[in-house]
Amino acid sequence: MRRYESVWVVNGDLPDEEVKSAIDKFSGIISSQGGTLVGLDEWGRRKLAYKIQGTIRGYYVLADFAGSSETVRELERNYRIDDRIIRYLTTKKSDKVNLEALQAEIAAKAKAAEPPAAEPEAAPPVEAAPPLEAAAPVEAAAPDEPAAPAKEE
Amino acid sequence: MPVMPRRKRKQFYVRRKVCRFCVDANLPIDYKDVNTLRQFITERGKIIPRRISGNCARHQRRVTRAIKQARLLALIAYTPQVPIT
Repeated sequence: MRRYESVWVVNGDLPDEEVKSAIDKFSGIISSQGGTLVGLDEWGRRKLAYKIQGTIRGYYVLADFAGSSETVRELERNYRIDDRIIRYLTTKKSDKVNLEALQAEIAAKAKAAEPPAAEPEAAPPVEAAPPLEAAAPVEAAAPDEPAAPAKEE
Repeated sequence: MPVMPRRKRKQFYVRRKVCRFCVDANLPIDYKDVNTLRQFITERGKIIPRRISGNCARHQRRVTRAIKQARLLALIAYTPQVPIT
């Protein structure tokens, strides 16, 4: 079993129920193909950086799961078949998965289901700045990072 | 003609750039983290070279990869939008 992360983009022009069914379909595929879904994070409708198939909006869904290469193969095969999916990307996060730790993580996730998961994308996009100048604020912000998640909980 | 003292050559300061990702090991490189990646692309959407960004080779490879992944997902544009005339 390996740990994977898969993002898929549903055409944002489709009605909500279509989007919903696309999400259910693909999270269902993960579970039915021997995968264990750890977390499903919907980023919601976002503006695309460029037009894809004539649309400028996409509904982003991120699935964090453990599974085998077979799981991924079947998942990606279905992405390609389904017209509602305009983009997808699956990345491997780790080669080995400790099943017990995974169960504990799922339990912890379920417990913390109430507060929405903090996403790094939450901040408004920053204009492209020269890296040298940008280096300073990031370094300055670094010590705050451990404090930030604690505050939200 | 009097010999003019030669103008002093402009001094170039070579400030040693350090890789931000080496300095702070916690700083993740992730295709989902668009704000960080934006700092490594130009206004034209090009990836800033290592020579300028100061990244080390290893981290530059990861940044590059992450940018390309983000482009695929339409999180970052390949090229800026041309205003419609």
